[in-house]
Amino acid sequence: MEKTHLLQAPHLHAIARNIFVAAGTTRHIAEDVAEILVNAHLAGHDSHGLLRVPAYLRGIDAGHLKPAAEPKILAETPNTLRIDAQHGFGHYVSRWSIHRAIEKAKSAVSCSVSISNIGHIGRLGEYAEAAARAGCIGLITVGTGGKGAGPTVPYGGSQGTFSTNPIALGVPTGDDSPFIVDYATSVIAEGKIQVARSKGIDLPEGCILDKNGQPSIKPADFYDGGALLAFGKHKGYALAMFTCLLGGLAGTFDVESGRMNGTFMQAIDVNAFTPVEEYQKGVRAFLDGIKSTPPAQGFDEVLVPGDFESRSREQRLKEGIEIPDTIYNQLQECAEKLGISIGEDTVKDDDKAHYGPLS
Amino acid sequence: MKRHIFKAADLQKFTNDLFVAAGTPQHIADTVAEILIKANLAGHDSHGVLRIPAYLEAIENGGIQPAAEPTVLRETENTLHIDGEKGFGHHTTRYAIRRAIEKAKSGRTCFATLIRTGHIGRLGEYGQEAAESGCIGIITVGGGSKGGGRILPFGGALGTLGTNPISIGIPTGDNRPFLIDFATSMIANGKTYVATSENRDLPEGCVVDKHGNPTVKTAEYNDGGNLLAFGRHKGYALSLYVALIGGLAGTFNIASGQMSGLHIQVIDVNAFTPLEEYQKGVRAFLDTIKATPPAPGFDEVLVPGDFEANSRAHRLTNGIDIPDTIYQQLQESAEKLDVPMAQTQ
Repeated sequence: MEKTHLLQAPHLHAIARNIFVAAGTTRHIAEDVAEILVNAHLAGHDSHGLLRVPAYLRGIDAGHLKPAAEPKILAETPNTLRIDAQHGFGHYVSRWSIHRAIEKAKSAVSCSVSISNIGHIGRLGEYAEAAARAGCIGLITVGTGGKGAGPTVPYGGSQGTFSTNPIALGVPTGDDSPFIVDYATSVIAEGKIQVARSKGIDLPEGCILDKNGQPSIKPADFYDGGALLAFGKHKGYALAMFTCLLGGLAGTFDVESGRMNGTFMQAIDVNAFTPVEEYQKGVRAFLDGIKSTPPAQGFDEVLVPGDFESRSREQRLKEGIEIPDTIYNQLQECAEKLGISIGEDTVKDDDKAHYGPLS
Repeated sequence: MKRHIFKAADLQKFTNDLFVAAGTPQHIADTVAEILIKANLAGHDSHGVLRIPAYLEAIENGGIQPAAEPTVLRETENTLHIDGEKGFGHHTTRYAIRRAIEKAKSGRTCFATLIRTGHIGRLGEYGQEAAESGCIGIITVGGGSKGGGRILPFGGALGTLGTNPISIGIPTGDNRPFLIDFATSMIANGKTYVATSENRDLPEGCVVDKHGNPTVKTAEYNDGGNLLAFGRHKGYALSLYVALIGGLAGTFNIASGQMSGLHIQVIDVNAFTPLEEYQKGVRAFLDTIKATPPAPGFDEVLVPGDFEANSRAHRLTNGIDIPDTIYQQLQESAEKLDVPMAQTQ
C-alpha cells in the first residue's frame, strides 16, 4: 500500500486556496473552490478533491480556465437563468448558480439554470446538498455526448461517445443527512479510475473495456485507448443521453457534428407543494423505514443515498483526510513552482471556520 | 403457443366497447382504449389490453370510478394539484399532462402532482405527448415503505419499493421523439405478467425467490419472491427518488414511513433555446450516437424511443399479436358484458 499523509480539512483548504491565489485566482473564488474540493474529500469522494489541483493549474496556464472570471447572466425570468460561466472556475460558478436558483425558486416554485462555457465543476453532490439544505429538491446534470466525445460507450456500441455524465439529486430531510444521489452514469466515474491508478489497485469487474473492446480491470488499459460502460445497461445509457439533452437547453449543441453538451441545474421549492417541515419528517421516516430493512446475505446494513457521505464527513472531520503520497508530492511541486509553502503554519483561523461541527 | 393477431383499429374499438359496456362514458373509454392500444403498438404489451380484465374487475368492485372526472385542487402559474377522484388514471394523467404543457408554454415550467389516479398505464404515453408538443416531459410514479413493495432496496432482504417507473420525453421534431420509459426495477411488474401468461422464464439477474436466491422462474417469483432494482445502488437511488418526488403531492405518512405519488414536470424548450434549432440538434445528436459501430453481439446501436417507434410501424402493418391466455380472458370479459369479440386478422 502506498504511503499516505494525514491532513486536517482546514489544512487542505489552506493548501488549495493558497495555490489557487498564487496562480492568479481571485481570493473569494479561491476560497469557494478550496472549500468545495475539501468537501469532496470529507464526503469520501477523493476523486473530486485536491487530486484535481494540478490539472486546474494546467488549465490556468493553458488559458482555458480563467481564474478571475465571474459568471454573467445572459437571460433571466422569474424561474429560469441562463448563465455564461466565461470559462471561470466551475465550482465557483455552480455554487453561485445554485444559490441564485434556490433564491428564485423560493418565489417562483422552481428555477432552472442552463450554463455554458463552464469548466470542471467538481463534485455535483455539493450543489444538490446546497439545495436540499435550503428546503429544495435539487437536480444537477453535466452531460457531454457525440462522436468521440468521451470514453463511455452507448449500450451495444463499441466506441466511446459520452463523458461520464454525472447526475446529482438532493432532497431535504431537515437534518444533517440529506438524501443525496450523486453518481456518474458510467459504471464508475473517471476520477475513480484515476484514484485506482494513483493507488496502484485494480478496478471492479464490469466497468471498463480495453482498446480491443474486451473487459478489463486494469486502470492502465483504460488510459491506453479503453472505454467505460454505462451503468445498468440500456437504462443508465438512456440517462447518460438525458444529461446531454438537458445540457443542450443552454444552446450548447452543434447540428453539424451532432454534439450536445451542457450543465443544467434545477431547484424546486418543496414549500410550493406541501409544507416543508412536514415533508421533511415524511422523508426522514420513509428513509429510516427503508434503512431498517433486514440486510441481504453479504451486507451489514441497508443504506440510503447520502449516508455514505454524511458518515464519511463526520469521521474525516474528526480523524483527518488521508492523501496518497503521489498526490501530496504533486501538490508540493505545484506550491514550489508558485513559490509558496504547504506547511501547516499556512492555516488561518478563518480556514477552520469552514469545517466546524455540522450545523 | 397459440396466438391471435388483431388489427390495431379493431382491437381499439373492442376495448372501447368493453369499457362503455362497463359504464365508462364514451370520451373516457376513447382515451383509455387509445392509450392501451398505443402501448401494444409501442411493443409494451405489459401495459396494453392485458390489463383490461383487471380494470373491469376494479370497476365492479369500486376501485375505479369509470365516470369520474379529475378535479383541480390547487393551481398556480407553474403548478397543478389534481385529484383523480379514483377515475381512470389514463384519463386523469392525459388531462394533467395537457394542462401542464399548456401552462409551461406561458410559465416555462409546470409541475403537476396527482392523487387518487389509479393505474395510469404506460408512462411513455405522457412523456411522448410532452415531446410532441415541443416540451421536455418527466413523469414518475411510485413509492415504498418497509415491507411495502416487491423491489428490494440495494443490500436488503425485504421488498420495500414499487417498480417506480420514470418516463422522459424530449422533442425531435419528427415522429421519433427521444423517449425514456422504464421501471427502476430490473423489469416492470407487467413483464412478469407477460412471462407468466406466456409460460416463459424471466431474464437472469432480475428476481429472487422468497429466500433471496436468484431465479428465473415466474412461479418462484410469484410465490413471495422479490424484484431487484436495476443498476445496483444507482437504480435503487432513483427508485427512492421517485417515491420522494411523488411525496410532493402530500402523499406520505410519517407514522408508517410510507411515501409515494405521481409527479409530472413539463419544461418548454422554447423558454430556453429556440425549439426548431434544438430539435435539429437533438436529431443530429441521436443520429450520431446511433451511428456508433455496434459491439460484438449487437446488430446496431439504438436510442431511447427507437424500440417503440419501430414496433409501432411494424404492428400498424402486421397487426397486434395477443397470446392465447390473454385472448381467453378478453373473450370471457366480452361474453360477460355482451360485447362482440374483436375479429382477428
